[in-house]
Amino acid sequence: MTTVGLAGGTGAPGGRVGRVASRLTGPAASRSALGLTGLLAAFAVWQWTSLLVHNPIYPSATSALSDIGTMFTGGNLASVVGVSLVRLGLGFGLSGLLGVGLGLLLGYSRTARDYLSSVVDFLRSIPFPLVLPLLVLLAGLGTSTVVMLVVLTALWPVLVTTADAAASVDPLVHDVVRACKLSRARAFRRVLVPAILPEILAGLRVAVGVSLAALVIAEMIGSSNGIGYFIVNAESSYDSRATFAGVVVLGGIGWLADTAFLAVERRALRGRPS
Amino acid sequence: MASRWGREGIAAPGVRHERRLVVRGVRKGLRTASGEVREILADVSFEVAPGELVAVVGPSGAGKTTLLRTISGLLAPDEGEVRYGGEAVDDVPAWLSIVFQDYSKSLFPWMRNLDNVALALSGMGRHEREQRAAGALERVGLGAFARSYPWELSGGMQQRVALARALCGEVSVLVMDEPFASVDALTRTQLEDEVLRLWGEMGFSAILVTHDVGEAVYMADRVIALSSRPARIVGEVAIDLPRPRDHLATRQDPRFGQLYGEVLALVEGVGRPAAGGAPLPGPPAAPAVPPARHRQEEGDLP
Repeated sequence: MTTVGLAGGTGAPGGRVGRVASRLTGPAASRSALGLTGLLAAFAVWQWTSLLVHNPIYPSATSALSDIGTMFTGGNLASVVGVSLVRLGLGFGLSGLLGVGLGLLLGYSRTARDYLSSVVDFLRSIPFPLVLPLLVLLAGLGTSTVVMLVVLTALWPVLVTTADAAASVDPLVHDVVRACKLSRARAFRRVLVPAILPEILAGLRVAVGVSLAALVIAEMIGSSNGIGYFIVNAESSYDSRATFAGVVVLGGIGWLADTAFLAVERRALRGRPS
Repeated sequence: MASRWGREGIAAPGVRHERRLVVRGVRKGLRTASGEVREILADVSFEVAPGELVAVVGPSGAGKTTLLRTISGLLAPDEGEVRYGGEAVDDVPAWLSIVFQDYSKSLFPWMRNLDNVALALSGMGRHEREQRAAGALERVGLGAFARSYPWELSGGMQQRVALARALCGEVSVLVMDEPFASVDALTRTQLEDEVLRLWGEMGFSAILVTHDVGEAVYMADRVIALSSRPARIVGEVAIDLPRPRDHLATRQDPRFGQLYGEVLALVEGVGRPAAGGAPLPGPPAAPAVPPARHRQEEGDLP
């Protein structure tokens, strides 16, 4: 959310840096300038506290970053991240497809809602990481188990926001669909999905974060590779530098995923009143 | 029907509007939030001749919108029927178009005006669809705004886009639900004339639902007055004002004032249980007078 909060544009709480930057190059540039400033400040705090603590368990920012560099070039971190990204993409993609699909069904069909809403409420209150050992027994260690857990966890925010938004679409929209004699396929493509696109995207954005958390949990227990396994493995061998490297890389993945998602969202909502 | 605004020779070629729209004995109850069924329409019957413009006026909350939704096939009547020629109206038929009151919702903000209009067209290639939609926008004077979004236009312009959408197909009956209620007074007079012009040019039948008696008299061939809920027809007034009509001349015509008074008397004279004759079925004796009706205490008209 920070990015959005800071994106306040030319107006209010941008702060002096923001105002100067926006005067120079416009709001988009000011946004990234602010983002960069924030990141640098965070690293500065890290660096400073690590010097204060002065304990090898808590490496400094600079050493952690250089560790990451060497682990990427010399070690296996690149392939570790690659494996996780594929799983994240699969898990998030499937949650999105299933969540939007089921959400549209539940939101736009009264009958489906009557039948399924209790089932959905039942299932979505289960903390699925608890059943991870069962998934491992079922599907073994590896990608399928990890992706399953990601889907079982990240599906719900998408499904619920989509269904809620669809169910509360203005009745007039349905009247217009009928008055324009739209076929069902055309109605969904041109009207019923676009009408709730902002909510669908909000649900998907929550799912990005949830997917990442579920991915790491799944990989810690249900896998023998990936970034989650990398971190837990580093921890169990008391390798605090590798642990920190893994955590920082994980944060980086989250930041990248959210930034990429925001770009997609902006593009998808282009040409709408803000 | 004799002298109609610009009717001579401009009627859309190839479209013939010769069927009567018949609304016969329509009753409709709707379920309220508390689960009970409230009677909204109690036995409504009227007809619309080919090319006629009929206004339906009634107090707010009378069930005008329900009547309109029933006529359009958006709602099925509990009893009675809506027929067009020999054909029963069930789902919204191809020859019927609707203009809704709230253009900010009926036009979709994610579509350009052209696409909003073209949405109502099907069964043709994309190119032809866009061509026709562009033509319809041209017809309402918004040809230059095809590539804009509806929210970039003023309210009156948006309602004209909605009008273009309603008229881009081969429409025989245009149904309008308080189409000018959400725009300012000046824009409103312009839109009224716009609709009269298009009606004159295209020759469709039109049903205008409104709570504005002046607007009904100014526009219609005939005004039908509804009672308050449950709605029934309490009378109708044939509007014999000459066409083409004009806001200055027509509204200053003494005949306009007379007709206005007649319609107002019909509308104002109802709404109290005693006036409508026999007590109506449905909700019991409790006088269901909506708050907006307290004016009737003074003006005591038949």
